[in-house]
Amino acid sequence: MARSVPPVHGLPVLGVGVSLRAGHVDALLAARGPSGGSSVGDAGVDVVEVISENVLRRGVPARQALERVAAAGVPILLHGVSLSIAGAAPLDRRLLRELRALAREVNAVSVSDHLAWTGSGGRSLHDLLPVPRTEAAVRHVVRRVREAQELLERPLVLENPSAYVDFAGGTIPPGELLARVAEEADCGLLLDVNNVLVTVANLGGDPAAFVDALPASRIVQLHVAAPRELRTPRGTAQVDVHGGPPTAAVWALHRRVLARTGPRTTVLEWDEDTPAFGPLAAAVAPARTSLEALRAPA
Amino acid sequence: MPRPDPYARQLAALQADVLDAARGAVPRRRAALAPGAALGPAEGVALLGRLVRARLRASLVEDLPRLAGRLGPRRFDALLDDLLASGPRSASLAAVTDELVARSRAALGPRLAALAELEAARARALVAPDPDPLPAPASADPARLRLVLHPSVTLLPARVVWRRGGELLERRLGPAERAALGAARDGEPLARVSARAPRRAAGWCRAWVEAGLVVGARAR
Repeated sequence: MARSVPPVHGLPVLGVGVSLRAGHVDALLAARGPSGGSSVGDAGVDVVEVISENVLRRGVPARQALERVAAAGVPILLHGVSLSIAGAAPLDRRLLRELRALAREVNAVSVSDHLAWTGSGGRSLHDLLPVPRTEAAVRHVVRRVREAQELLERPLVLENPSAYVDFAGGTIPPGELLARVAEEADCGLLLDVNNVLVTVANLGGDPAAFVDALPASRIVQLHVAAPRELRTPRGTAQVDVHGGPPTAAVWALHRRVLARTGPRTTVLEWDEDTPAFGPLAAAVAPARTSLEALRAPA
Repeated sequence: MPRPDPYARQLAALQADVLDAARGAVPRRRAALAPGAALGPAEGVALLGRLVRARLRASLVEDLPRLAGRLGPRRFDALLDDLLASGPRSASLAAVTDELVARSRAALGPRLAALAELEAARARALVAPDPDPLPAPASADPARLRLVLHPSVTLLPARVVWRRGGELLERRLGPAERAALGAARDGEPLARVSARAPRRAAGWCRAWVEAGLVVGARAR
């Protein structure tokens, strides 16, 4: 018999955070002070997100750094890139067991990955590839999300990836695809606002229609980041490089989503030429302003 | 005969195209893709190929810095292209390093292959799990006791690489100590390991334990 999964709505709204680099751990902990301190105004972040594979596959120093963060009481979001939930190969049950153990060890708030596949036929691409927008793909992914949640013994949170190609013959709009999977598999959504803009710039569509198609109650977390523009014969494409502070377009779409969902934990991803911790935390401040505006009495 | 899964076929076709693009080859256009607003199918596949290549290259250079420096970009990229032609097979970037080194031995020649093995061993040691806790052995009989090495240990021809906590360690080994430690790793009883060098084995064993190379013993 399947184990019961706690409700998605049990995930708390934590405020704002950043995707944590190992080199930022000392600065984060120092900013919080010896007693943990108040995050706001000290460290500038309320929560950190950690790439699960960086801990599970890239070494003991990364795990030790994460253990220090957990011991300091900083809420941790585990974010993965290799689950391949939309892949054709059987789910990586070892990875799921390791994630379950790691989530318990660091008392993670949530475990997320992408609505994407990363390889097939025994080969791995080490990138996130899009799902065919078909009924068959929805059924396939929903079945696998349920299986993953049983192994994780908690809800999985799925993020929309950036897309550079689209399978021919897709009939389900991108936002609706995400919504269908979340509703039918009973999982949460991590809406990456930047990825919506990248996907729409590359493949077409309306970013507002994309995000408005998502069930607000399923969205448990938001990502913001900065893309890089790329001139092409057809126009201007975007590449999801996480290369700086979010653009005005990203913040505008972020506010639009919050207007529907209410406050949601928002995490900044900045992977290319990542600055020191202070400027990194400062770059997510506009999200705090938006969240506080929603919490302020009318 | 199982019927081919159309879903899996779609994914495999796109993957083949992206891997072709990642190594600079013209994709065979096996994936049925729709044109996008700013990226046509060929442009999208080419962009994905460049992203895949850049990600793998950065990880491999991080794990194999001296090898990359010795080879230079052209020869290092040739190894990467060879890897992309048939893989990579592992979803773990750390394991991709091992995959590249294993595939490249013949192309590198003995000296550079040894350097590659050493750098891969260092990268592997840092991602190896901690040892499982061991109960006290049920017997102290050296004919039944077998030493348990730390999971991070890699024995190279004249060197051992391992980690203690988060600290990466390595040291040279003489031929006799290398043989004894290899015998311990392969599960030979302590009595047989000691018999390889009766006057020195006790000292080696103490040093292995103190250094964290050996984490315990099992009686079998």
